[in-house]
Amino acid sequence: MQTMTVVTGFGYLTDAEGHIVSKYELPVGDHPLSDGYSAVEVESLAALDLIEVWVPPPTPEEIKREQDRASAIDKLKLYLQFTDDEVKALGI
Amino acid sequence: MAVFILGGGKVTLALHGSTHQVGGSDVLDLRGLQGGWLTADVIGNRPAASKRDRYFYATDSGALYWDNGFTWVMIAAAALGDWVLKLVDTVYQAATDGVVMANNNSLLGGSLLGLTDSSTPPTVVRRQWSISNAYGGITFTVKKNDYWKVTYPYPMLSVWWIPSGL
Repeated sequence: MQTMTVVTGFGYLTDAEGHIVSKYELPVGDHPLSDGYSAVEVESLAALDLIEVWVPPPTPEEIKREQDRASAIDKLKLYLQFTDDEVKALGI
Repeated sequence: MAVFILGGGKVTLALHGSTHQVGGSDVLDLRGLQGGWLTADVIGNRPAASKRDRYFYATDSGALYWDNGFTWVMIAAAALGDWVLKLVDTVYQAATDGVVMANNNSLLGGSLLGLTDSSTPPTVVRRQWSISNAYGGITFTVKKNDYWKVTYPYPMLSVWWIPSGL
């Protein structure tokens, strides 16, 4: 376990591949840093707002689930004449 | 005879005249005095723990503490504090025990994750919900001093923290 020292209270965390995985707002002082991560401080909350967190690409399972969902909606519209609002009402 | 209950938790019997007799001692009110068994003040003015069986009521948080001779132990949790709006994909440290609630504000899909543990960034998922074309949310509790965050692929999310006490 590493330690990160927070001075400004604001910053972000990167993983071993350099992706920004999270921002942080933490009290000034030392904090335990999970293995494989690095901390980068920024000056202020305004500066932190400009940081964009990396969004990992969807997993194969997530892609498959979305394809199945889209396919099901298409069939509802095609064969049962569901409208977009009716599909939305189903919450699927 | 008067009975004093002191900070050490001891009962001391001192010989005095009865309060019902001429020349008898007055009733002593130790409440609020340092060394009395119960004092009340803001948490910042709480004395160092050192005398077993003292109690301290924090007027700013509503919590009640017991002195075990070495440290103060919270024995009655305070009422919940105020709701605080937080940010998605941002790590926070909990100053008190508390609860996180997160709700998606759009019909976009994706996995809504609540993570918390004792280091930053927290990596242990305590609550997860995979959303497709629906409104919904997650709720999870956080221990004092632990780190927590909520992740979601889109910014259309409300993250609320409600602390216990302070």
